Amino acid sequence: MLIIIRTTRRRYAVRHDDVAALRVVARAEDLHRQDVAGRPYVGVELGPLLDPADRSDAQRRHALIVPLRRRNVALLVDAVDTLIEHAAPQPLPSLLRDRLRPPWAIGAVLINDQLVVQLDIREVARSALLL
Amino acid sequence: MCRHTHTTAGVAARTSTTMTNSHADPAERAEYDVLLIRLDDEVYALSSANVREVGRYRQFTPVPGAPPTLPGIVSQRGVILPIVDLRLVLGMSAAEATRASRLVTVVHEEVEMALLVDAVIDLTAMPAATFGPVPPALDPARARFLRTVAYHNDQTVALLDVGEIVAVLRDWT
Repeated sequence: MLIIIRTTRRRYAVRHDDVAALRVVARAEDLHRQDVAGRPYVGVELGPLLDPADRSDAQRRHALIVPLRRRNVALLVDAVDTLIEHAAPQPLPSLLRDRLRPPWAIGAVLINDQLVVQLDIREVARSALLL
Repeated sequence: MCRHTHTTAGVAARTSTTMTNSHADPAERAEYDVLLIRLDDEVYALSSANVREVGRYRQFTPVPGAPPTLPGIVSQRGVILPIVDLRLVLGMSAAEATRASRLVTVVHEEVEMALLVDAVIDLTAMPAATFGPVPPALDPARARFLRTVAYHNDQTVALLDVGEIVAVLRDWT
């Protein structure tokens, strides 16, 4: 199953299994709260992480909670568009896939005649911790 | 070449009568079937053996982390193709797409890709006798992508080496 998310300029697809929870975030400070295990959330804006020009001025955000070994990463997006149960993403062409730096994009899925890039959201979350 | 999409199936048939070996040296044949394209104010040619389809430019999907020469992807009949900005590959400056911009689907061995070009001029057969060696004074960074050069309709036309473009796109870091 894929989750289709929306930043200010783009849509992306992520595997549902990689996301522990979806939260609505009214204020950025909410992200500093701890989860039930006492681990803090690390909040990261997904749009500018993928494209520096993709910045949001929305107050109300949606957070994709991606659990890593020691921390939860909350990747903030403008909206969660939809869930697609039977999606069939295609791998990216090798000519492009081998050149991606960082290699966060792993495929693409055609939705309403538009290609949506599929992200390895766990890898994005890992990288976000290092930034 | 004014239609929205132009497949080269018909061209390939005609090509088979005029080109005994699509990869042979142009000088060995009487005619050389090419797709003429424009980049900036320069005219280049693609061997029709490499060309699959020509389509109008349409917005492509950017891919995070992609290099400027391979800025995104497009779906062509259900197949995902990488976009290749041919201006940047040849060392030209980037330019906004216009109504004349086209996506030329080309294939080399197992690699299929959509070349973004400023315009498609014509599909034509050029006499092999008009082709000559690439001028040694040409910038080596660009000359590596050229197989041969011709003078056609008062213009210099450089035949692009699609195999070299693929090889360089694979190797560039």
